[in-house]
Amino acid sequence: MGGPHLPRLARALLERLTAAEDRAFVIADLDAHAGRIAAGQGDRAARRWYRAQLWKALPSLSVDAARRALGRSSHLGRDVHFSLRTVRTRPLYAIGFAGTLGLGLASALLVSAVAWSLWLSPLPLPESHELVRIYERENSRALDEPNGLSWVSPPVFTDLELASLSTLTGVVAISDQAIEVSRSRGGTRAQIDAYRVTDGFFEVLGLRPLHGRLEWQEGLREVIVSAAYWERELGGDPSEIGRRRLELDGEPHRVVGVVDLSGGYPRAKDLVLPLHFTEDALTEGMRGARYLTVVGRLQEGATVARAEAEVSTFISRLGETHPQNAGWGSHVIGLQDDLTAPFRDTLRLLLAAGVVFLFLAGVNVAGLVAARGVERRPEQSLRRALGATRGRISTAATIEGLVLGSVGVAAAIVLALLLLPLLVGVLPAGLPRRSQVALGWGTVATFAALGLAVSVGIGWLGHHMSRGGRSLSPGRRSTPRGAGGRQLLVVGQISLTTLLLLSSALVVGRMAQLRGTELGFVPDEVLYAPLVLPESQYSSPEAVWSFVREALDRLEARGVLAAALTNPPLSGSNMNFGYRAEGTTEQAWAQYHIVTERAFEVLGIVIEEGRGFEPGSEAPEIIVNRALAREHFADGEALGRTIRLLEVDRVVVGVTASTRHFGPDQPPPKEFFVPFAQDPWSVSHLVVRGDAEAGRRLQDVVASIDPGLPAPAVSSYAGRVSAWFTTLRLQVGVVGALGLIGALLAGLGLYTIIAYHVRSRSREIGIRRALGAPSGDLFGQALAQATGLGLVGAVIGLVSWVWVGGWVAGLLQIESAGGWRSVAAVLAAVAVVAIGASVLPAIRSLRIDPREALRAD
Amino acid sequence: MGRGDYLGEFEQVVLLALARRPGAAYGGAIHREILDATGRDVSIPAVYVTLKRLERKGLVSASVAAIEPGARKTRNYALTELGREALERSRRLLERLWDGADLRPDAP
Repeated sequence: MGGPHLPRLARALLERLTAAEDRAFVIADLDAHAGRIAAGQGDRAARRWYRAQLWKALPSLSVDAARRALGRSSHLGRDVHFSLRTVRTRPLYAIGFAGTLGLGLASALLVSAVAWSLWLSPLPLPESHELVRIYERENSRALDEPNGLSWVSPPVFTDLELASLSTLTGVVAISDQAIEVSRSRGGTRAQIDAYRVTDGFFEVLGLRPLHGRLEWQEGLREVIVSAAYWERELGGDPSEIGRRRLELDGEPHRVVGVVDLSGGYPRAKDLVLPLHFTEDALTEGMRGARYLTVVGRLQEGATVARAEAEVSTFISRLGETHPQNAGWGSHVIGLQDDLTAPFRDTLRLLLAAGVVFLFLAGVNVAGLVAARGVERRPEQSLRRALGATRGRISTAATIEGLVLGSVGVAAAIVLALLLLPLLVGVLPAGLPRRSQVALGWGTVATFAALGLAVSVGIGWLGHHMSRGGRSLSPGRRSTPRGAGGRQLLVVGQISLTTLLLLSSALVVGRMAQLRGTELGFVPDEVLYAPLVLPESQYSSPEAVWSFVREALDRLEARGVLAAALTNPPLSGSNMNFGYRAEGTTEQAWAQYHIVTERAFEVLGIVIEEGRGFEPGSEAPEIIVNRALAREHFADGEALGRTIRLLEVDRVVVGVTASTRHFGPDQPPPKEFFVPFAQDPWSVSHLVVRGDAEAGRRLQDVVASIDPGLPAPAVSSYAGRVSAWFTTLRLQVGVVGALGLIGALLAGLGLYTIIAYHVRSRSREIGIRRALGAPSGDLFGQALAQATGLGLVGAVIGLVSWVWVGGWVAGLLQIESAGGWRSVAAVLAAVAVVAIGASVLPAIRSLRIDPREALRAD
Repeated sequence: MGRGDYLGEFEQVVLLALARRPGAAYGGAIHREILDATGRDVSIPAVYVTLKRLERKGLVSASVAAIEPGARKTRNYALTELGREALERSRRLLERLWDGADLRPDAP
């Protein structure tokens, strides 16, 4: 026979709401009375009575709960006061706690801000997930091969624009060359950054006008300006729209609209002009001039994969009637993915590192708290003896964690704010959305809350890890909790540090290797300047050639070795033109260069066979590089053979060394060179060999021939090569910084272990000292423990590198995973960290007073 | 007398119920005393909350013991001298107020 069936919910609530010290008695009395009611009036009456007791008790129980909370809050004030006193009396501990947590939190905050701004946050364009980038693609090449992807040629773009594609609402082209237009203001001329875009550009991207309109009227010279330019140059006056004229390329253009281009895509430029293709730009031969950036917007419901299939099929069909498109298809990718693709792996590595460092920082701080807890055991035992409950002591430890954690969070935010501009400065200048990298309030608030939660958890965890003796009872030994687990974590940290340091060594080695790579040309003491001849004044090839010839002649007269060329090496341009070699029927592709006769001499490109171009020669000649010659002809048999290019059969008169056109890490592509005079382009480069004086002479010569032309910007070719290494420098910087932070955290972890070990065994050490143990032994013991843990961690890291190294090398696009020198350097670094971390606790062990150690228990 | 020296209504009820019981009484017994004497089925948790408050004021004392051999342990409360004085004060206060109070609706 059992008691009445009591309402479980009401009973549970009453249990929960009643103070702990009263709970058992209250529930027993309730149950007893309910039993009496059940015996007299039945179970139902008893349950009804029980529920009524709950309702009646709610007001008084609520008041009592509030009173208890207020009572705890008076403890809260005292706990905060004692925590702040800890900062004063134990500054090293407080700095260690707040500094380590701050370091881990700042790392995580920074990498999150970078990853969010550059990668994870959507582009600030309407429905940005619908925007795609369209490439042409040679079907025989893999996507990640050199030249695996190409931009789009004008004829192919025009075909796409006219086609009825079911997956795309529209496509637009952006001329991504160094377009320069000049304006005149008060008689002076200047170069201005501008885009030339095809119709529908603003609709496809979803950009709206700030003022005026975002379209050009047929036949009129109109320009749209950026908001930044409008503020800066036009005074931000809305009445200027539709009235103000700018002189561009010597022709007045009316400003008709203002658009905000600060959103990160497209990159902010001052002016937007229409892109109209001339007849020359749409000839058959120009199907190989793939230089347009093409962006499209997906139809509702269409996917990137379907769009790629449709566009690929379309371009493949073009190949049936246009030989330059035979064997070509398309690659379509989400615009955001396209912008972040080169850096995504690095960003993933950064994010993972940020999370790991936060975790390691938390673990290290918990170890610090545990060591501190050992130190406070006598104090806590006294408090227990005076009546403090375990809960009170635990609460006090948690509050201390929260207070120090708040300092750590504040330090993390300050550190992140200080380091963010430095981090942004290290990022490559051309990185998309670089200007948008910032610490948002949402990110800061999230990490602040995370940091406080972690510090509360750490305070509690560390306190429980240090709990040992319960009272002042003699004979009760304190046993450190979780010591084995902490050692395991520290070994793990050292392993991770080993991996990070090996990765750093890998990247540094790679950088050194690439710096030593033979480029095929000599960039030292070479200056280059883009030359853009406005079509309004240089509309014919003869006019272009006349200017270029005059400029080179005048430079030679002034003692400057100079040349003109297109598609220079390491310029980022990709002029892949189709050709057919003698004796072959299939079309192949190679980089197309137009050069004057001294270009090879200026750039230091060695002509290995044959000769260069003769000045004034009109014969259809061509020079090929070694890569091309090797593909089609046996060694020494290229000279005199023919290459059919742009419907012209050209005779090979020279073979040059191959250049690393796309960078030191890419194999040299096939290249051919054609005399400048036979295909003069209005957009080219002037290159001179010399110093800054040579650069000034170049500018003077251009101005002397055409004073209306803006002075070309002269840059160092060596600087351009150095800039190529920027991304690699970023990798070195990032991985190196990760390794350094990992080493710091691992060192701190080791320090906490050794310090904890010394404190836990202070009595034993004191006795040993009293019995005359040599100082060297005690010192050596601490050192041995640290180096032992360091060695185990390093060995685990090295073993892991066998598997991880290949993945990291692939992530950083490096061929091999490093050699014995790297391993030796890293082991030495880990040894330094281990020894460094153990010195302070080892010294402290020598200072333990045997009398104090024996008294304390 | 200082602030808090006056008893609240429920505090008086609880103290009086305790005073009616010889020796000490636990919360459940006090609840039954109130129920039997007044017919008012008060909340047992509220009785305990009140007893705790009275204990803080020093008007009752508490101890944990089994009232009878073999019975379960209960927390038993007993009136202190201060508690008796407080009850006396409350009675005198109420008597003085009642004296001269006229509940007839047409009283002048």
